Amino acid sequence: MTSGAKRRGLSGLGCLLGLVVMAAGCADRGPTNLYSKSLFGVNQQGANMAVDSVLNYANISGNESEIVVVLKNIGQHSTYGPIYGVLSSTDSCASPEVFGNNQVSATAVFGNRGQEIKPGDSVVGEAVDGYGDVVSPNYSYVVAYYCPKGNFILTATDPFGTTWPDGFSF
Amino acid sequence: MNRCLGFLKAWMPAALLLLAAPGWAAPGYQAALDQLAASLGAAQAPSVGSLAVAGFVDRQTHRRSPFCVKVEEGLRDRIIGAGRWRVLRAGQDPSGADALLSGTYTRSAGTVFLDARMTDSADGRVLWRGSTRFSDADFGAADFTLGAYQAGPDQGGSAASADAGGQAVAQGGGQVVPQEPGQVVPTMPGQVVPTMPGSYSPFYSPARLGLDFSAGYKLFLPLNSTFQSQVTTAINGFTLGMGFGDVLLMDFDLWNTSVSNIGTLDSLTYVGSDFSLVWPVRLGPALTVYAGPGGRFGWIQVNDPSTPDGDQVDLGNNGFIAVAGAKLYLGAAGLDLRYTYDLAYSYTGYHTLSLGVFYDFGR
Repeated sequence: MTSGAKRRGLSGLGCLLGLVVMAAGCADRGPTNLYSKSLFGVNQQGANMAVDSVLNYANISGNESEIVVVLKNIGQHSTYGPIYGVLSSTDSCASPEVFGNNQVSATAVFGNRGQEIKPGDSVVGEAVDGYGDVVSPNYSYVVAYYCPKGNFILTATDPFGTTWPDGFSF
Repeated sequence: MNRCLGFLKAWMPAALLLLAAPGWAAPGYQAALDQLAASLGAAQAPSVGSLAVAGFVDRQTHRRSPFCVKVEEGLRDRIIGAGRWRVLRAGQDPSGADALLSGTYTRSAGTVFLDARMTDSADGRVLWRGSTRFSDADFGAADFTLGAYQAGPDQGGSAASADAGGQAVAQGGGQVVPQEPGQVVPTMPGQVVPTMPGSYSPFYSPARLGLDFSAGYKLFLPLNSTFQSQVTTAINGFTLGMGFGDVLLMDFDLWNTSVSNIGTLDSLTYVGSDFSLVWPVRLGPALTVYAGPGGRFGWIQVNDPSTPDGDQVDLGNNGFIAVAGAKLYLGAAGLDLRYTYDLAYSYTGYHTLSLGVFYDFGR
């Protein structure tokens, strides 16, 4: 039995126990919008990951800043981590680079594998190295943007392939 | 045919009169009852632990009279005195007992002919049969007044009528016979006392715990048209159940069905439960029907190989349901046939039809 199957079994038990205490019923879990239309003809709005805040810790130099991006699910359903956010720039300057612990990547990662990100949940971006692994425990990362002012696009993608582009600047 | 029956009815008292001719004098009531109880006490009935004494009626009219109550009281006292069986009190639901002692009487020319029999509550099998006769000198005319009940000493002593609390029991001809307060008239196989279903106590009696466990097959017929066209119109499922006093029913359901034409979706698995609060009506010692509202709570799990390991997509499918069913008792075990219909639901409702076997720890 895979860990996923075990999780399903335990979740079923949890659901039944929840029912015993007269919970509100069994809630949707995960991106049900991917299946609700084809299975039941029901249109649903799924998860919607948007930039909630950008913490600019320090201007390291004229074209570099140490930042932490926080994403929030403002949609109506959940999705799962990890969500990978790729930074790009709307400026005509060179592409930004994200540095974390001296590793270079244009990608930050939000949430852990298997973590359900429910509506209203916020997840903090972490720096990843060139292999996509989280550089822990340093949450903040250095963005080199090579422009007088940085205007960025963060394109977040969840494990199901759903993408949410959002912009920010500092 | 009716004429033949009429002829027999007309001559039956005369035939009985011949049987009760001088030289064949009837004994007294108390001695006759002693004799009958002694015969009953020698019956071979090892499976009987508890006994209900109820349902004596006039043989011809199938109606009750105060005499019936006195006979039941007399037999009940004697059986209790013998100490062989636990005897239910007057008014207790007879279906809670292992066996039922009931019978009929005929009165002719000063003699009462009483037939009694003990039947197994589970299957209606006759375990013992006995008869006696005695003089009616110990009784007044009022004791044999059909349909006019006068309370016995253990019901409060003074006269009471149907208006004073007795329930009504419908007879085959549409007549309504007053029933003693608290008295439950049982239906046993072969006895033609058609009682109204509502005359049975709907809830379990103190003599009956009423906790049962069941397992069975459940057929799910989805109501959602998209689901019907994209997945299936019928799903075979498995169910485990619990019941409390035939009033609170809980089912835990499981089904799985394959999906072939929606992306990489492989199958769907439903894990859920439904809870129902039903009103049981006992139509006899072996049959209970019930109906009521309830709720269905569950998840339809999406089994998609492309889903990242550890992630699960579950559609919470909850509903408000109506339930109707019947339980057939074969001893402590039995069969439960149940139908449900989803009145409101999240994604899809169902017609469900289930057939299960159960074991009742309260019988």
